[in-house]
Amino acid sequence: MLPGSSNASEKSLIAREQTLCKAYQQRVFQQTDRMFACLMVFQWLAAVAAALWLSPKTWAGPVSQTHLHVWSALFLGGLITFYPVFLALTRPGATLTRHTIAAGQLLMSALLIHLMGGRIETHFHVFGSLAFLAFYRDWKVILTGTLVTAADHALRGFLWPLSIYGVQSHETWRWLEHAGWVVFEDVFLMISCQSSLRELRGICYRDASLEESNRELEQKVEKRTAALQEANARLEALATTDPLTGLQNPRAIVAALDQELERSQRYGRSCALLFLDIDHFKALNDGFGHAAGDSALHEFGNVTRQCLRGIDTLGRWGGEEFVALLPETDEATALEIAERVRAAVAAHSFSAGGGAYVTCSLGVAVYPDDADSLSELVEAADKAMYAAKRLGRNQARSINDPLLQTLDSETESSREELALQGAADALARLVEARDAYTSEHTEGVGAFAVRIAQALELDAPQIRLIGLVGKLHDIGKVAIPDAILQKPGSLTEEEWVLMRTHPIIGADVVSRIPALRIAAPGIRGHHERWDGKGYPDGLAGAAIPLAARIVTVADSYNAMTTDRPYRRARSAEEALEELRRCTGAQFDPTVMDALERMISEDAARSVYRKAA
Amino acid sequence: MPLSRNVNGSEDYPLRAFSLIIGLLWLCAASLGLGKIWQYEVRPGKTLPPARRWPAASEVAPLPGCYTLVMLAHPKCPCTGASLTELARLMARCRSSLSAYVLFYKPLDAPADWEKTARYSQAAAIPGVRVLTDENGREAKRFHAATSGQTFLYDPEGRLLFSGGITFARGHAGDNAGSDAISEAINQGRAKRAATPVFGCSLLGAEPK
Repeated sequence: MLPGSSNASEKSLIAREQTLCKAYQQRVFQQTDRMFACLMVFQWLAAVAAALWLSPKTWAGPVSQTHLHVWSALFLGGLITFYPVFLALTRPGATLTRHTIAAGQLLMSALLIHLMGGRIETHFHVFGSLAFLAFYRDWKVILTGTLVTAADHALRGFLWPLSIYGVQSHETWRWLEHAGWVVFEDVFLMISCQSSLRELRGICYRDASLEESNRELEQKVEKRTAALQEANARLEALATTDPLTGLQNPRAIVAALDQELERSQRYGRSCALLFLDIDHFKALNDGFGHAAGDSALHEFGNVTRQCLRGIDTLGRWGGEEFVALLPETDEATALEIAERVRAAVAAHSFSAGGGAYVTCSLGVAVYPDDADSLSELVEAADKAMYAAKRLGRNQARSINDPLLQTLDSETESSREELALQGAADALARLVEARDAYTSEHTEGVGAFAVRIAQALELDAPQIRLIGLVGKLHDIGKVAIPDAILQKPGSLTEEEWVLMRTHPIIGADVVSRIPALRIAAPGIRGHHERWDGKGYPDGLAGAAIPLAARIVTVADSYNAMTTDRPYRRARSAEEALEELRRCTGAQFDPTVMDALERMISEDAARSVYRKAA
Repeated sequence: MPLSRNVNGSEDYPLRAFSLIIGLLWLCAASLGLGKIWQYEVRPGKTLPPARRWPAASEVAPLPGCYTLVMLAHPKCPCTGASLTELARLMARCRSSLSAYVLFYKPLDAPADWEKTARYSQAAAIPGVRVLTDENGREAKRFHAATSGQTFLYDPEGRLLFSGGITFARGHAGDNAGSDAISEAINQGRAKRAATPVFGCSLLGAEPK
């Protein structure tokens, strides 16, 4: 500490000490004033009682009357008492008050001595009063009392020497002898007062130092508390946030779910949980690297977050799985939100992988309709999400979707189905390795074909089969040379001959895999036409497998709405118009009706969302 | 209920000055009152020219061979207690050569034992003192005593040596000129002061206080 600041601190301490001292002394003055107010009233009453007891009457032979002592005690005692008590009550702590009290107290001593017949014991009232006055810790008050006593003696000694000295002749300085005894006591009382004041100053200085130390300590505590709170906030954020996406982590989500379920239970309202999983995330991760995968997760989180409401909570559950908690939401609204998310993700061009498109599957479950507890709710939403995956991905499913019941009833074939999915994925990866466009195209056709199948209200095995056909319909292109496959211009007749072999090759490939054999007819027939002018077998109408008819429509729609090296993508309306034009010739009218219904429902939903 | 204070917390000057003036007036009034009381306290009672020899008509006889002290007292006078206290001291000092009578006044129509007060008991308790009742103040009149506490000292031949009070003020015991004069007269045959003022109630009612 600098010398200057040390001096300043010392000055500040001394100033504080003086303030504390002054306040303490003022309190002492006020308390002592009040004490004397009580004492003086008591003394007055005692004086009246003493007068009534000792000298109630004066006599003249057989006749008596009230003694002058009684009137003196009553009126003169009252006069002596009144003003000091008045000041003690109205101006406690004032200098004049305590000096008036000192004078009054010693005047009362004189009166009492007189009333008691000058008994020597009564003179102790003088000494007692001076000792009481020392309670003020103000030597000047003792001096005032002493002066009153001395003046009383001096005047009486001068005017009525017999009353004091027992002789008629007065000696000028004799009163000093009597006052000397009072002064003797005063010396000790004043020394005591000064000593007490010194101690008080010491205590006040220590109090001031203590206050200063406490202030410094409080400042330090405040500073450290703030730092601790900041650290706690950081730790809390770290403990509840997923570092990759910035979304809430499973722990925070579980806590939020717990809270929300309790609230739902208390108020009897529902809340929904969305379980989201990015489709084929592993392929993205493996194809573009983990950095791109992490970036995609971050982007996915952002896109999803934008589709949710302010009251919703989004978190990363683990890997490429996310959950969204939708408070006070029923199943219909939750499905709308899920569809909004699905569409936004499917439409978003992810910067990871240079603008790749990914899709996601969503499961919806609602508390308390679908689950009684947190774990049941998560399990139900997860189950719905897996159902969406099994039904072809890129879709949202509720746990109450009738299709799930169908899937559930086939649990005995689940192993076989898994094997089928695995084989389908393996073949899809083969196409992807050969041609990125074809891979994206087949994924898109698969998902679109599933939606058309759903619009046709087919059962789950059929939908699964159609999804499989859609995904594998171009598997035969692995045998077509790149020069033909990726040729920007029109193909020659020889090239077309080769190209037209891909349905046969595809069907041949999958027919060699037992689990996928059921998809072979659909794959073989996906270039057949309703009017029988298609290839490779020239089948017509209902002779063409339904899966092939659906995939044909989905394939054409997808091809027309996707950019190709030799032409730009058409709009959805243009593509639909073209499909309508070819309905009955190339495409199955029933499938087209289903497509029309699906698109109009999508449009209605879109309008509703915009309006909402 | 503190009176008005200014912004600094101290009282306004006019109020302080006013309080101080009132205080001084109060001090003067109290001092004046005390002065008046003291003036009353040292104002002596009425005295009459004393009988130079022991009154012949007295029913009380002087005791032979010693000095005889006679005190006339009103049994209900508060001041007389101090005179009796001084008498007790005097008797203790001069016991061998002094005998004493204390004659307590009793009015004519007073009930029995009217005079048997604390003063009466106090006097009776003093060794060497004979306490008698002075019916209707006859002895007071014979001794020419007008104020309670008046004391007369006669030598063995019945000559008056001292007449007066043995307190210095009303009801105040302590060293006094009367006691000193009596001691001096007994020890030396004569006193410098033959008379002192008497402080007490009127014995016979001639002088109401």
